[in-house]
Amino acid sequence: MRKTLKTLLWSFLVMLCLTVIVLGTHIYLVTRPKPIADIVQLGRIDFKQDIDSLEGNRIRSFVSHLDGVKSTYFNYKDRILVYTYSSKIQSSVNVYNLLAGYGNFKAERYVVGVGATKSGCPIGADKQSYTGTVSSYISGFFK
Amino acid sequence: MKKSIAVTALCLLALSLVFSACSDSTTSTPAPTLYERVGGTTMITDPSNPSTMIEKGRLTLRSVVDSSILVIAADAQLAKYFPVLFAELGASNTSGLSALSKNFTDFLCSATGSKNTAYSYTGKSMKDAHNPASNSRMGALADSADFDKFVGDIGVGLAQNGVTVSNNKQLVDDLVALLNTTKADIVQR
Repeated sequence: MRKTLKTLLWSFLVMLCLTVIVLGTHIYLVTRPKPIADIVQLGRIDFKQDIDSLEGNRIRSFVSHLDGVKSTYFNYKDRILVYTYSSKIQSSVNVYNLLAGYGNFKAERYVVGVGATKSGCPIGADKQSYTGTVSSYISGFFK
Repeated sequence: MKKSIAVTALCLLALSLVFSACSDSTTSTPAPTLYERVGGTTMITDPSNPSTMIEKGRLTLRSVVDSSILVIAADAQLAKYFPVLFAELGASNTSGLSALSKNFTDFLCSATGSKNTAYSYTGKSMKDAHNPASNSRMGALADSADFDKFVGDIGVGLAQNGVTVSNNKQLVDDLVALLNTTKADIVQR
């Protein structure tokens, strides 16, 4: 009788341990921070002062040497600097702040309004398509 | 004797047929497609992903597209069409930049004569894609001036990749002519 009770107690303890381990692993897998996706993004800085090609090249050189920045282009006529960067390494806010610290430029970081993001070049947009809608739904479901 | 003359005559006839066939094939060789002229199907290492191979033609077109996107994004006249590209990462972690690069490159590959099905353009028709009625992401109808500016910006993108009117006028003219074939569908006001 005593042996049976002991066996039952051990069985219960083993099952409890297994349950705790399985539950713990599951909770960790579900709640662990997801790695940040490496997306190439576009950043833009609008200058409120004339920039000649010499100054522009200096700015381009500075920005293109920042970590994560992949390419740059300066439109001198419109006084607009655009650059692509890896979102995993860099951010447009940080690029703007570093540039502001580099030179005393009159410039603004271009920020898109919520309404404006609803329009864009259609050739790059597929979220309205059937597959785009389905994939967005599935992504949302697993979030 | 008669037999050897007949054999010789047959050989000469066969030879003349061979030469005429070669001559015909030389004159009827089709002109290289635009895709072949920008690199064609030669496989090379993709510089942005060294573990994969890419057709040289596609790499050339992708480089031009990526350069042109920057030129267009910095163009105050055209920036109104691309606000989504500057948006911060959304819930789906996409800004549309990679999709634009891929789709535009696919479109150019198909239009210039690539036979690789992996590079086929499968998006909307140019007319539907640029009509707000059939594509809610199209904020406004494009006008002729904006389209011409767009083509000019592609020219700047080409120049950044070493192709200019002064060093390859024919290629620039042919690519511009190709883009202009879409004008009637894209310009809708």
